[in-house]
Amino acid sequence: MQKKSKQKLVVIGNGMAGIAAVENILALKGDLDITVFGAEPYVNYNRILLSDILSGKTHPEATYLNAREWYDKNGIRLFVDTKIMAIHPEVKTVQDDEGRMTPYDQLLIATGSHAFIPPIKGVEKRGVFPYRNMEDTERIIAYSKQCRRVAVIGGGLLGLEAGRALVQRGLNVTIFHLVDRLMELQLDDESGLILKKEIERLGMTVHLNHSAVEMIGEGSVEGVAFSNGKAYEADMVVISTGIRPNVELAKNAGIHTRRGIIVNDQMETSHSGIYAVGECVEHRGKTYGIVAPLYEQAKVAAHTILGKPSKTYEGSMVSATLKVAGIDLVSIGNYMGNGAGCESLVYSDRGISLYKKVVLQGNRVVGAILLGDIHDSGRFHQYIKNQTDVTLFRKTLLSGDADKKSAGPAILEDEDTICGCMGVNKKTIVEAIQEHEVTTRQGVGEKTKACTSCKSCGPLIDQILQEVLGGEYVPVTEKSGEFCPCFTLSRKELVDQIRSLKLKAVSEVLTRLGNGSGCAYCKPGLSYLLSEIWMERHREERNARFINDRVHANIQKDGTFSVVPRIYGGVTSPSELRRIADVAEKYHVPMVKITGGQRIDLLGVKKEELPLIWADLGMPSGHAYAKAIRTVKTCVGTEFCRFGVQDSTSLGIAMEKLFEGLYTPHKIKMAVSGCPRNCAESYVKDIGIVAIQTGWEIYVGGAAGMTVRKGDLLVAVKTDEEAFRAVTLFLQYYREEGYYLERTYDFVVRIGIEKIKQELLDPESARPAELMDHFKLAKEAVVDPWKTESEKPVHPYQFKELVADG
Amino acid sequence: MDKLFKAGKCQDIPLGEGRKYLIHGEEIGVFNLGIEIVAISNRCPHAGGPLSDGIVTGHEVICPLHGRKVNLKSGCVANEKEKVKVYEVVLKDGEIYLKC
Ligand code: SRM
Ligand SMILES: Cc1cc2nc3c(=O)[nH]c(=O)nc-3n(C[C@H](O)[C@H](O)[C@H](O)COP(=O)(O)OP(=O)(O)OC[C@H]3O[C@@H](n4cnc5c(N)ncnc54)[C@H](O)[C@@H]3O)c2cc1C
Ligand code: SF4
Ligand code: FES
Repeated sequence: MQKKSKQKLVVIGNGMAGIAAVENILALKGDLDITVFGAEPYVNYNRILLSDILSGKTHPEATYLNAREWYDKNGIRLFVDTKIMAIHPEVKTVQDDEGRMTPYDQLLIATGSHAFIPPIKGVEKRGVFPYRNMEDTERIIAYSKQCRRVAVIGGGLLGLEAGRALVQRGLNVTIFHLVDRLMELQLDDESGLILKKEIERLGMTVHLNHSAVEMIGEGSVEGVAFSNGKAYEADMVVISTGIRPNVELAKNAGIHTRRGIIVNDQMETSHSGIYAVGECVEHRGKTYGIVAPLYEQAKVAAHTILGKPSKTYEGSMVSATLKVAGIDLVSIGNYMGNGAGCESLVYSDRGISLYKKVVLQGNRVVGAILLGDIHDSGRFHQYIKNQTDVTLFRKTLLSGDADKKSAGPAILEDEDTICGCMGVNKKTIVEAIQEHEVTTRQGVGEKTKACTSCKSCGPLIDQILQEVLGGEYVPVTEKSGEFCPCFTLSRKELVDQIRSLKLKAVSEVLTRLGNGSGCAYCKPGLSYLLSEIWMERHREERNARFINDRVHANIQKDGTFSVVPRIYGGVTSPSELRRIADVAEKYHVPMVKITGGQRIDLLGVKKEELPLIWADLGMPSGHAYAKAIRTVKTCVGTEFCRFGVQDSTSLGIAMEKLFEGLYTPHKIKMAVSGCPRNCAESYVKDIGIVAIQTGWEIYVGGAAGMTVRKGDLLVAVKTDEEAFRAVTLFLQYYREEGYYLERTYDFVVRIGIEKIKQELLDPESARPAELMDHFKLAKEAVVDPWKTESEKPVHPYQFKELVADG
Repeated sequence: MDKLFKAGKCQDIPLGEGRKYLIHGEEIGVFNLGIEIVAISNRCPHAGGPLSDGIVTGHEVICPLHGRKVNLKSGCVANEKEKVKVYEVVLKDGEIYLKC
């Protein structure tokens, strides 16, 4: 039998919707011969992240959604920088800008849209830019370097995003908006007012009711004139006044278009064999400008193209999220409450810029605006989608305090979309967590692409992780730059604010900058951050600490604690051993164990006996319970070993004495080995020192726990003094730059060993002097917690067993 | 009938923390939320973790052993069916009384 040649699918547009359709086709195991044309000179990238490029937070390559290899691997022919000029339906071919004709059996149009530029005099002047694609973004960045004042025309979602990004570049930004409230397509009057205040708080000036009529200037723009007679100076103008679907190509081929290319519920156009998806499409009279609906369209188109037309597209409920760091805003569905029988429930507090509105029609939620607190936007999405009858909990609808009813992910169905940007449903995420054993938002992102765009679904993904993994899950969100979902600020912004507002206690940070209450992750995280920023001169609040740090011992499965005294370098003495033995007998300690860290652990101690045991032992704390300097393991070195080339034991003991008592983002384990045979396991420690004939090698970022990694060589030095200096610098650098709960094996990889070397060892670097100063200040403040607490506990009942009397 | 047990003064429990009380062998966690004092059974339904040693955020305490979230007012455990017992607290002249 003759082998049938594959059906040819041509895709016009290498953007988010077109490639999503291709991905769906591949996922359905469709066997087509696929060719993609893209007018832009890049692989498929995530347009949503343009503002992050504009602000300098990320770089173009980081926004690529599919690498060249992906196209190659899947046998997709990709023509970038190639525009399709005409479609010839009668002969089923497309013609590109080089005149080449490419035949198709099926054609998918995904040409997206372009920025709409209103008829303003002088818009062609140098320094006036639209804002739609990578090229615009790069041109804006390049031009902005010579500018101080920028005017953004348009106070919608994109205009505000652009404005914020340019503020982050250090420019003076003024937003000019046509009507009397910002984001009028997503907000009502009151929320518009609060948003304006918030935008101003972020350093932008806002002028409402301003209609631009002319760009003033000789050649380059120098200002903007408005219809009300006013004019303002500006070195640069960004225009963001809406988008228009790219329909010309289809229209010229005789395909039916109105505002967009008209498609039915199968995503078919008026011509058989030709389909369309994305922003270029008009479906049931609606066009869309955000990705979530486009992904639904892409899925349906893939089914239709493969002849599995069971799936239909019936339109989408729109929800818009403002991606401006520092402002939380979501607007969903019928937010205005226009329509028969609509009622609005509103809570507004201008003082703290909080606005919540839910629109009900009958007993069902049809729309919502959340400004200032969006943590339960998922709940409203679900109510709308499932048409939940909310009569029974209407009272608590806005407060969300209805305990059980407040939408934990448990009420989400498998098919419910969690990440609207990337169109990922709950089932996919749950499977990724179970099958690939991912345990972080980032991991979920790598496997499913969820939460890699606007990141507003992050808290929901945390909840799903929690649900699937059980209580063990602690969200480590700092890796994505934000500190914790309890804050809208990034880690860096948070640190800056803490410094400038001189906040010294966790509760102050939470009330001034966060959501007031915090969570079990950020309270201890902030405690560390404050202690580090103020070099132990912060105001300690015990309620923000994990129990281990309140009682300076490690809690165990039955609620008892363990006591691990410090045994410097693993070297002890008969009298020390005797004291430990006496204590173990006196307090009937259930188990005495030699640890993997060359010391002795007294396990199963009652809380109330801790201070007594510490006092009897008379030994300093080993900090085995804390994120702090743990052990310095040593081997016997030149003292006894026939291979030893340096005195590893003495160096290890001296290091442990120098660094003991310092707190760190996560625990630090060290080791010193007397030769490269490495008996103290230095290569796999956070900081490992190995003796060589000529001195010492210093390794950092090693691990042999959940992760196994050989440390990177930081430096080889000749003397003990140089070794001390290098280790001190690295340690202090990690204390300042490490994220809370980030072990050095992640830290060193994140920063990169080359960068670390440059910061710490380059004679030109100013950092070492500063790090040394900070280290000295922090070290001065070190106290032994066992000594202080057994003499005078922070709270009289910290260790007591309390009995109520009747 | 429920009896009132005296459990010391409000300031015996530091702000935002819990303390364990023994009443006839029963462990009760008493928490100072600033605006009110609340009390629940001290044993986490998961594996018996001492809830009074947990971190308090808002109206919840996070079990120190494996992180279950327990609502201090309803006794509900997030994502679980079990509940912990909630005890009524009576405040008189700055003294805490537990009803059990
Ligand atoms: C006592 C000890 C086991 C022993 O009996 O020998 C121990 C006991 C615990 N380890 Fe460990 N680790 C002990 C050596 C190690 C080592 C080996 C070493 O230090 O040389 C490792 C691998 C190196 C490392 O740190 O990565 C190790 C990797 C871990 C890890 C995995 C860390 C990672 O990110 O890979 C955890 C979990 C964590 O930190 O989140 C952990 C956590 C724990 C905790 C604290 C779990 C907890 O949170 O309650 C255990 C406390 C038990 C208890 O009830 O007291 N322990 N643990 C060892 C104490 C050493 C000491 O003297 O301080
Ligand atoms: C700055 C910015 C921020 C955004 N933020 C969000 C957000 O937070 N959330 C959200 O949901 N949405 C956001 N959007 C909107 C989102 O990016 C779009 O909805 C989505 O990219 C549209 O996908 P598409 O494939 O239809 O069009 P596009 O991604 O624009 O892709 C169309 C592609 O087709 C190419 N093309 C056009 N004509 C031709 C031709 N004749 N021949 C060959 N190629 C052609 C174009 O060059 C383009 O590359 C944002 C958009 C911008 C600009
Ligand atoms: S390996 Fe460490 S964490 Fe695991 S049970 Fe043993 S002591 Fe505990
Ligand atoms: S015992 Fe409380 S969470 Fe496991």
